[in-house]
Amino acid sequence: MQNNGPTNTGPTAANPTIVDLSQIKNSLQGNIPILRKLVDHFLNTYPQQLLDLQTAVIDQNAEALLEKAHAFKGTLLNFGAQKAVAHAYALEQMGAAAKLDDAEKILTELNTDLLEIRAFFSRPDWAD
Amino acid sequence: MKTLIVEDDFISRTLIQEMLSPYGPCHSASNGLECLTAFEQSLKNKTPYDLVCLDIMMPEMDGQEALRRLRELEEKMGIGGSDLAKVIMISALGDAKSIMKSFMKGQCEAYLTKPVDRDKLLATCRKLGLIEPETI
Repeated sequence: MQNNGPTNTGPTAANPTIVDLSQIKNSLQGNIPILRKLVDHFLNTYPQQLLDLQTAVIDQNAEALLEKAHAFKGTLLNFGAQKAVAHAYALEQMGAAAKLDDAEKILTELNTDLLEIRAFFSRPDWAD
Repeated sequence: MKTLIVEDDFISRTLIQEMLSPYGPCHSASNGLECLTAFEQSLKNKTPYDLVCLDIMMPEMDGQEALRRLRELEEKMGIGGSDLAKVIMISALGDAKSIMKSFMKGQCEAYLTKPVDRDKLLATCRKLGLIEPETI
């Protein structure tokens, strides 16, 4: 059979995923009640994590930005939130380099990602 | 297999616990200091951990330092060879340098990157002889 090129419309670098739950579902062996518990925990705690990042940027505290962004990135990786992970990683790198010039802009983009993630989890069928 | 999961992120910690709990008791610590306390206690009680899953970047005391002190504790208590706990370092993107440091010093047996993949974690445990090979 001839391969007529990629037909996959999955995530690409130019179109990163908002949320991809395939890995976490495999990790939990399809245990949706625990997945829901973890998602609830995430939705309840991320505003504080975002606030910590904002504080670090306002204070121009590169070390705190590095630590908080790294931790947040780890959380986001669990939900396959590639777009948000990329922005958290960018903030982490800025913290590591102690160059926070664009941090506010990235933080705004991360905030948008999180609104999209929240919208995803507000859909009744997100766990299907 | 008795496991100590050292991870500051609740979600990551819960996930690893869910993956490993079918294979034995799992205890958790949220930073390096808590890790050392639990680890030392287990050695004193003569119920040591078979496996420590250790995140690299954590508050209070990071995984690198915890690993170094954990090995010191074992040495001080005369534990060596196959009785040493197996340590899997867990990292996110950007920690490569830290992992290489641990590997080159021969202090950890394996490493995995976040998000931790269930199949890879179990395969690593099998490779380390901690759980039985998969039977079909």
